[in-house]
Amino acid sequence: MTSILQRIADRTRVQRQSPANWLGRSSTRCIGIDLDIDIIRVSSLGRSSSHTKHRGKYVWNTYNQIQLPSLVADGPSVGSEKSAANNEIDSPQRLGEWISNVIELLPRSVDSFRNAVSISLPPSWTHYGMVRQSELAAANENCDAMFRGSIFRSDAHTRSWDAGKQTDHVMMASVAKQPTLDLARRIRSLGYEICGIFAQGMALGGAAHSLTTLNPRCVAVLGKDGGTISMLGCDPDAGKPTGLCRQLRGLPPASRSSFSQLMSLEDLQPWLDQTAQDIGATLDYANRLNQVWEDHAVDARPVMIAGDLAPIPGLDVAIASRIQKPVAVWRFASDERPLSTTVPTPASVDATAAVSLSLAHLSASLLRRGSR
Amino acid sequence: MIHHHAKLLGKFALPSSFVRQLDLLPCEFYEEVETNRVRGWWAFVLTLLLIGFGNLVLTDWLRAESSRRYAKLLKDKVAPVLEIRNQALQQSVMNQKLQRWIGHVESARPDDSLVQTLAAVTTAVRTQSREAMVDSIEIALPTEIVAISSAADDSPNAHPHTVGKLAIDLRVSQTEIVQQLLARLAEQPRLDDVSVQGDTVAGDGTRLKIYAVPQATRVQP
Repeated sequence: MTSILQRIADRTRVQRQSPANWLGRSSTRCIGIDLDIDIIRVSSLGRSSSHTKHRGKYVWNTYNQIQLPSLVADGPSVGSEKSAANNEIDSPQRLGEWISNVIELLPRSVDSFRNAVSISLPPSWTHYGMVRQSELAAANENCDAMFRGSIFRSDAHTRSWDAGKQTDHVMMASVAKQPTLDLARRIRSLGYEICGIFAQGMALGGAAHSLTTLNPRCVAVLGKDGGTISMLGCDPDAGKPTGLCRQLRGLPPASRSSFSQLMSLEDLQPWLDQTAQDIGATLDYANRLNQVWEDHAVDARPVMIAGDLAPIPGLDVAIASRIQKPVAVWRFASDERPLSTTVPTPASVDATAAVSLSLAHLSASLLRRGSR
Repeated sequence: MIHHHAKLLGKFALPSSFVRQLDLLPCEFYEEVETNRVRGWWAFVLTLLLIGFGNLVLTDWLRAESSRRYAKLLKDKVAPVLEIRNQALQQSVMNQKLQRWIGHVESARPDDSLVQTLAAVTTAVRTQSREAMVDSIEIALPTEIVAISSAADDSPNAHPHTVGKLAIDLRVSQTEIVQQLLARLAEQPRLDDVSVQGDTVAGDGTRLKIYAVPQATRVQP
């Protein structure tokens, strides 16, 4: 009897939830847009109203993958050792074309919801570096010069934060200023309210605990075009983020074109060894740098993997055996999944959607605390 | 699971200041957005003010225009009245002037009321001079106008100067001509209230007394 009443109450509540409530103050949808060279992933978190107990909490509402036209065969790469391999797109025209494609294919908002969106740029657009505090200015100039010499033809915009608690090293992440601004303006003109642009790894690291209920030691994005590994912590005294971030290499060009999530581990062999070694080295480096992160049970906390390649069966075990640490695949901590997903294999959606979901969560936390 | 998660979302939500420090978007963008917002707000306010001002001006102008039209209408309607008034004024001035002239003329003329009365009697009697013989004529001209207040008491003797009196003694040979004579006298403009009294038969005809009220031209109030 009570359950029936409850259901009726829920239904009326759902009906009452309208996109725009009184005086045009519209409800908010928190969106994450994960831009990659050949694909866009869009997730949205919205406020739940159908569950009485959890009214006002965020639930995963939608997930979309949008394939970009393949005129851009490969990503523009900056400053990394892989740049020699990615020489197909070497003109600013191609870059403009790619941005136009993205703008053209992004979903449009047709209702009166307020769309708060966070964006992540393709991993190859971001340059990571680690320098001493004293050398930061010089490093910034280097970055500027490097981005000006690249296809971006623009100054760099650099953000830096402490690499650890007791080091004088800072981690810096740079993006090209003008293309980023251009992209943000054009996405804003579609009706999105832009909360920020984040590096993939930073977004994942920030939101992993909330979205998966696991507190990972570090998060690795394994994409076929490259990825990042990041460790993110918070200096509780200063309230400042501390983090390490580095790029991981993508699949060799030969196996990129034939990529699918049903590939076997043997096909990935040279890449797998290399990536596992990189992850292990990063962990060792972090340990050596200092005991940055919450020092208790550091080793018990898993390394979390996400991205295109993460759902390949057996990959987590293979990496775990190589680095001798626990490995977990990124999984959204709820049984509810969006209904209208365009993804053919919903089982592996979580790890693929991880970045966009994390971005959506960042949008949510930026909104909840109000202003910037 | 969802219950657990929903709780965690609230619990482990990142502080926004923390997240903000990871933001790679140059702050020019936010400044731009803010500038646009402020500019939009001001544009809105200015537009509102402009509309208000325009409204005020328009209303004012319309009101002025309508009052102007009303004034014009009034002027058109009043014009003939004014003209008539003007003419009346002119005429009254003219009238006064003429009146003054009349006064002058009147004052320069001798008073001939007595002669006129006599002339009236003579005119009336002349044709029948054979049949009617006038013995005597007694004329008393009025010199004062009866004041309206004192007109109430009807005894004319109270004001002897206000009523004129004409008495004619005459003899007629034949009684028939008396009526003709009376009619003639009544025709005279300067005689009122003609009446006959007494017809004593004497040796050489019938004796009559005819009374009338003569008019005087120069009476004083």
